[in-house]
Amino acid sequence: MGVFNDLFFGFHIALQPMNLLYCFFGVLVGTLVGVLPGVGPAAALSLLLPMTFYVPPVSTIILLAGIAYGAMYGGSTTSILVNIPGEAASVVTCLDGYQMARKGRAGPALGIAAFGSFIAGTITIFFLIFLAPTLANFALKFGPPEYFTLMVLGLSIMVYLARGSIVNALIMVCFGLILGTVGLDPMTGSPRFVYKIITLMDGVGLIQVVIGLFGVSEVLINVETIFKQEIFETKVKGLLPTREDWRRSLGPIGRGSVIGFFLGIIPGMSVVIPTFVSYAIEKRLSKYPEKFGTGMIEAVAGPESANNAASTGTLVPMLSLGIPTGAATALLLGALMIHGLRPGPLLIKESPEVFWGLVASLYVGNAMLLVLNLPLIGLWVKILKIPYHFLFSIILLLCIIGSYITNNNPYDVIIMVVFGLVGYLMKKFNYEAAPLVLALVLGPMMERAFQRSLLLSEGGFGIFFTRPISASFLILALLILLSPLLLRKRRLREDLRAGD
Amino acid sequence: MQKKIGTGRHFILFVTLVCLLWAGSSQAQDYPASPVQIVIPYSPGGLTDIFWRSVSDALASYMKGTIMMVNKPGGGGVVGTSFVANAKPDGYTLVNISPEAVSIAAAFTANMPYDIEKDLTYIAKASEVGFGIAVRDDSPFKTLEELVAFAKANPKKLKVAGMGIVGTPHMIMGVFQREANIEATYVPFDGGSEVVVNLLGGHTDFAVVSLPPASPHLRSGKLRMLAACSPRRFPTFPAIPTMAEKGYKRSSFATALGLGGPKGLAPAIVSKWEEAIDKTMKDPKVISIVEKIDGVVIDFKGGEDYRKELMANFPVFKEIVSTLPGKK
Repeated sequence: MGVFNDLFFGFHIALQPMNLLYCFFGVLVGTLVGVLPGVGPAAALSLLLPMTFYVPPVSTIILLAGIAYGAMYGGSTTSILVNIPGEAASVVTCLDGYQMARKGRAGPALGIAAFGSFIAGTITIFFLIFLAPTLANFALKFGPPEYFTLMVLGLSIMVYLARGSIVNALIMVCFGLILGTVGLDPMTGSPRFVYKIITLMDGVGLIQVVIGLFGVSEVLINVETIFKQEIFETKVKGLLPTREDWRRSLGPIGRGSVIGFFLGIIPGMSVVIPTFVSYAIEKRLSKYPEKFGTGMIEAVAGPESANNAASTGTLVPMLSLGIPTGAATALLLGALMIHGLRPGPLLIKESPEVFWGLVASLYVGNAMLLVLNLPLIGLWVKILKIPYHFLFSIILLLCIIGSYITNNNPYDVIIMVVFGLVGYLMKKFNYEAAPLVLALVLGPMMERAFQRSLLLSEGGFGIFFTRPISASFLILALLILLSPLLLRKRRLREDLRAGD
Repeated sequence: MQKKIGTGRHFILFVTLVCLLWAGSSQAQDYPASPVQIVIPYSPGGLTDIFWRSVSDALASYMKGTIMMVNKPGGGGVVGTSFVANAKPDGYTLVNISPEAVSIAAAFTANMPYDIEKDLTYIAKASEVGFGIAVRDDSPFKTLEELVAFAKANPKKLKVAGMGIVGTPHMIMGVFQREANIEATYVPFDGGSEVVVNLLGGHTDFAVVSLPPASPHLRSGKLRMLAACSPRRFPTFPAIPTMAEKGYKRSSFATALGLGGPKGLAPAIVSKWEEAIDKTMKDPKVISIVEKIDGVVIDFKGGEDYRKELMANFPVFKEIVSTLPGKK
C-alpha cells in the first residue's frame, strides 16, 4: 500500500497548476526538438538550464524530463513523413513508417507511434516504481566484457534487419564498422583515417551520416522518379489506426516497452540500440517477415514504443545511483545538483517529493503528449500535399540545418552531403542503410569494450566466456546466427511434404 | 517615381551609416555591443557545460552584455578551441580554456592545429575541479598506504579506471606511479560516470575520478576516497587527506575551467572580462550555485597567472606522455 500512497502524493505534486504548466512546456519543447532533425534533447536542456535556477527543484526536473521523453514522440514525425530521422532513435521508424506514408497511410503510422509511445510510457512508469532499486544494481554487473558480448549479440541480430540480400547487408555492416574506426584510437589516442581533418578526430558523426543516408538520398531518388509520376498517393486513407492496425500493433508495443526499458537501464547503451532490437524481434516473430520494409505497422509500433520506454529506463540508474546514461540525463543530474539535491541512493529518502513528483509527472506528461500529438497528425499529413519542388527544398534545408546544429560545425554539413551521395548510390545498387547505421553505433562501443576487457584480463580471451552474463550473450548470439539454417531446413521439409 | 528612388538611396545611406557606427562602436568603450559567443568545446551535459551555463546570467550582468554559450565538441576540446584560435580577435568569440585542450593536448598531439603559446589569449581562470583516488566500500584498501604496499608487492596486478586517454586522471596516474614506484594498468573510460559505474560494479580495483560523479556514492558509503589529488582538501569532504599530505607532492593535478580567446585580443577587452569573472566568482548567488556542483572549487586567477600555471605543467605532461605505450 505504501507505494500507492507515495504515488498519490506524487500526483498531488504533479497536478499542481504550476507543475502542470511546466510539464506542458517541457513536452511541447520536447516534441519540437524531436521534430527538428539534429537538435537533440541535450541541446535544448542545456539552453534551458540557467532558467531553472529560479524555479523550484520539482518543477525543474518535471520540465527537463518532459523535454527528454517528449523528443522521443516528435522524433518519429519526420521519419514517417519525409524519411529524415528526427533523432538517431527514429532511424528504424523510417524503414516501414515512410513506406506507410508513401502508401497513403501516414496517419495510422503517426497515430500508432503516438499511442505506442503513450502505452510504453505508462507501462514503464510502473517498472520504474517497482523495480528501480533492484535493476540499478543489475546494471552495475555490466563491465566491459558484458558490453562487448552484448554488442556481438546486437550485430548478429542485424541479419534480421536485412530486407534483401544478406550478403549486401553484411557488406554494409562491415562498411559501418570500418567507418566506426575513424577518429582517435580509444586506447592510445593515435589518429586513424583522420588525414589532418580536425572534424574527423571524433569520428564520422552519426547524425550527419543518418541524415545524409536517409534524407538527402531520398530526395535525390525522388527527383529522378518524379517525372515518372511515381509519387505518394495524395489521398490519405484515414488519420487514425484501424481496428486491424491495433490488433497487429499491441504485441509489438508490449514487447518494445519491455526491451526498451531493460536496455535503457544499462548505462552507456544508447536509446538507438533498443529500437533496432525491437525491429529485429518483430520481424522474427512476424508471419510475413519478407514484407518488413514495405510498410508494416508492427515495425513502427515496436521501435517507437522501445525508444520511449528506453528514455524512462535511463531514469533508473540516474535516480537510484546518480549515474547519467547519456547527455540528456547528465543535464537532469546537473540541474538537480544545482538545486542542492543529491541524486543517488539517498534521493528517495531525502527528497521524496522530487522522486514521486517526477514519477507522477511522467504519467501526466505522457497523457499530454498524446493529446498534443493526435490533433497534429492531420496537420502533419497535409505537409505531404505540398508540391514536391517546394517540399524537397524544405527537406534539404532541414537536412543542412540538422547536420550543422548538432556540433555547430560547418564541416559536418560536408560530411552529410557526402553521405547523401553515398546513400543515393546505395539505393541504386540495392544496399540498405539500416545495417550500416547500427554498425556505426555499435562499432566504436564494441571496440572500446573489447580493448578494456583485454586490459582487465591482461590479454586473455577467457574473460568473455567465464563471466555468466557475458557467456550467455555469446550463446544467444550463436543461436541467432544458426537459426536461419535450422529454420530453412524445417521450411524445406514442410515444402517437400506439401509437394508430396 | 523619382522620389521613391531618392528614399531608397537615403535608406541605403542610412543603413550604411548605422553599420559603420555599429562596427565602430564595437571597438570603442561600450564593448560588448552585440552578443558574445563563448564556445564550450565539449558536449552539452558535461561539467564544463553545466558550470558555464550556471554562471552565465551573473557573468552577463557584470559584462553588461549578452552571452551565448555554444557547444562545439570534438577531439577532447581541440576542435572548439581551434575554431576560436582562428576567429577574429574582436572579443565576440571566446572559449573555455581547460588544461585538456591546451597543455595536455599539446603534450600529446603531434599536429596541433594551434600553438598554445602564440595562438591564444588567456583571460582568466574561474574554477578548478578536483580528482581523487577512490575504491569500493568492500575493497581491502582502507588507506592509500595499503594500496601502494599491495601494488608494490604485485606489479601490474591492480587495474585503475580513469576518464579518457591522456586527460588529467591519466596524467595523475602517470606521476603517481613514478612517485610511489608502483605499476598499475590504466583502463580508460569515456566519462566520469562510466568510471564510477565500473568501480561500483567491481570491474576495476580503484579509480582516479573527479568529485562530481563520485560524491553521491561517497555520501552513501558505497565508495571510499583514499586521497584527494588536489592542492587543498575538498571543502565538502574535509576528512579526505590530500596526496601531498601522504607524501606524493607532485601527484596532484586539478583540471580547471577558465576563459580565453584568439591571439591579439585588445588588452582593454581582456581586463574587462578578467574583472567581470572576478566579480562573478565573488557573487554570493554564484558561490551558492557553484558550491552545489560538488568538487568545483572557485579559484580565480588573472589571465597571465593562468597562462603561467598551464605552461608550468606542460613539460611534466610531455615527459609522462613520452613514457606511454606507442609514444616512445
